Amino acid sequence: MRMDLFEDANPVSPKLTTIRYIVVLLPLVAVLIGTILIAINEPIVAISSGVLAAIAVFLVWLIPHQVRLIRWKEEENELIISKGKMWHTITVVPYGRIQFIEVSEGPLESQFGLGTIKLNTASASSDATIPGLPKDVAQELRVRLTDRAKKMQAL
Amino acid sequence: MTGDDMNNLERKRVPSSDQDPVDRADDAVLSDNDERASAYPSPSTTRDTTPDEASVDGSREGEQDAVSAREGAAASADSPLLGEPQRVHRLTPMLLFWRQLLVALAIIAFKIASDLDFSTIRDDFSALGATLLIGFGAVLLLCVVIYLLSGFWWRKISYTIDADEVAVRRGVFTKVEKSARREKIQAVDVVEPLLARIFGLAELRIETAGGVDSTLRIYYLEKHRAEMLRAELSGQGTQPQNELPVARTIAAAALESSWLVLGAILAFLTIPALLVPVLIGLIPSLWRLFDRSWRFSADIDDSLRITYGLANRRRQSIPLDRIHAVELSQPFLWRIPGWWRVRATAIGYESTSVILPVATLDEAMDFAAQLGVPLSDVPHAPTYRSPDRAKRISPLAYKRQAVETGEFITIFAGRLIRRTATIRGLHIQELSLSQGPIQRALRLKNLRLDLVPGAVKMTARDLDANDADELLDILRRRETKLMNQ
Repeated sequence: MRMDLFEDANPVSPKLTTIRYIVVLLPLVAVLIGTILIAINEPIVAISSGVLAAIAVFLVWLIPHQVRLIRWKEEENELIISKGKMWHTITVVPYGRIQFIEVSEGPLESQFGLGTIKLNTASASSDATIPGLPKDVAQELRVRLTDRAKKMQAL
Repeated sequence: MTGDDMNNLERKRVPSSDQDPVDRADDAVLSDNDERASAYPSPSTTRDTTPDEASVDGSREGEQDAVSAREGAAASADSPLLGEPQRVHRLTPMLLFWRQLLVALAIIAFKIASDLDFSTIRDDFSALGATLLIGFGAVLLLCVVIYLLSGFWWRKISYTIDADEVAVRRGVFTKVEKSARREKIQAVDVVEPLLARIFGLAELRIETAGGVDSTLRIYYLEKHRAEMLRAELSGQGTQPQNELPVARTIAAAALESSWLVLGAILAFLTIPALLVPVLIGLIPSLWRLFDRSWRFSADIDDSLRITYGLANRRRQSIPLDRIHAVELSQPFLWRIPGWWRVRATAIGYESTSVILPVATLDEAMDFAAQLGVPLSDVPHAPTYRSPDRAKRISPLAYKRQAVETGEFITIFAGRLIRRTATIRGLHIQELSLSQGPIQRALRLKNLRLDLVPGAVKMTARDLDANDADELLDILRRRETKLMNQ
């Protein structure tokens, strides 16, 4: 990890952890309970209960780490996004290459007052999104980035 | 290989600038719609209609009665520059309706077959003869009727070429006119879809500078007339004929597909029932191998012009400044003859990939040089190489993995299938530096250059973590420098 790039980088809202818990863990726990109920009669199913429980515990540990590791930073000429615990990625998006910016709010995100910002360049291969930004922060960032993209392209 | 598939192949190779994204998302279905839409210009112009129709909403004109009295084929012998409306070939509607015709034929055949009482045939051959005769008669009558009716529609198709402008008009109920200023013409391509080719006809595609719907299509014309118009409009004579020898196409395809074929034979020997699915899977890819290099020829000035195709001859023209990344690659068995392939990513030409199907290394490097891109098979002065410990992740490729920086960023990869890809620094869109768990343990990182969509992907794999960080900084500085200029 390049800590020098990220000493003063911005974190995203810790509420994103709660959202991801709801989205990922809730269905998993539901299935887990299902398998436990079946396992009462069919003990062999207990194996899958065990596996699911292990995955659930792992995710309970992983998700807050992942959220804490989502960082973003506005540099002079580019936006830098850092993400990922197991697979770590740093994405560098030059302002001059930004074609358009989307801010979206899923129903759950909206409930928590969060939004996701997505930068689109002519490339389709990268993942230049920042999830879990407080709505006003996302909007302000969008305005700033749009402005910079315009200025850079005018040069 | 059905006509449908060939049509789809043909459409996929068309520069994407004249397709809308929806069209690209589902070629198989939409190319069909596309054709039908152009066959029946409907009053409601939705995104599903052909680009021609969608783009001319504003410029529809009233009835055009001024079509020259000359009838199509007769007119085609004259000079193309009359400045008067000219007709396309009389068979055009039939060629566009051929699917519907086929369906009608199938229905008639089915009707006849189901009407036949097979138990009586043995005794009464004349009844069979009479039924067949009626069937043939019906088909013939249908064809004649359709031919005559199509004339109504055909008479409304015309094109005009004068000193300043090229214009196409079509449509019975909905009039559509599209025109292009001659000085705005970027490229003129002659395209020969399979069915049209059988009748010696071709389509003229005129690309103009501009966005999505910038193609003017005139179809169908006699081949020689289309060629004449192309020469006239593009201001160039006929193409130089430096065609790729067919023998080389076949040898190259055989070498490249030998693994596939071997696998298929093995699969067939173990489980004979697999023959049909394996063939179905194999034939299209074999076909593509032949098709994209068949009688290939290229010509470079300020644009790259390529011509190729087995069933459908295609001619494509890509302005050189649209070409972003170029890749030299070598399928494993091509090492024996020492052949290489050149592919490219061109902005606005997403469907283009192979720009030189088979060539010796010298030819390929020379070709790349003409495109203004330096390419070589091995790194001469690599800035960074994968360290030896990378062999735990890339046991074969690590020895070849290297990056050269400069005005061009060049990435060398692949041991079995060697690849070298290069791009001007300023064409790189985004940068993604990544590290997985095993790479973390080995202190390695990948740096992916995010490019415009296309055939060439560039990732510098398994670099030493510090080297990768340094490379990221070099590429970021390049961007900064560019912005400050």
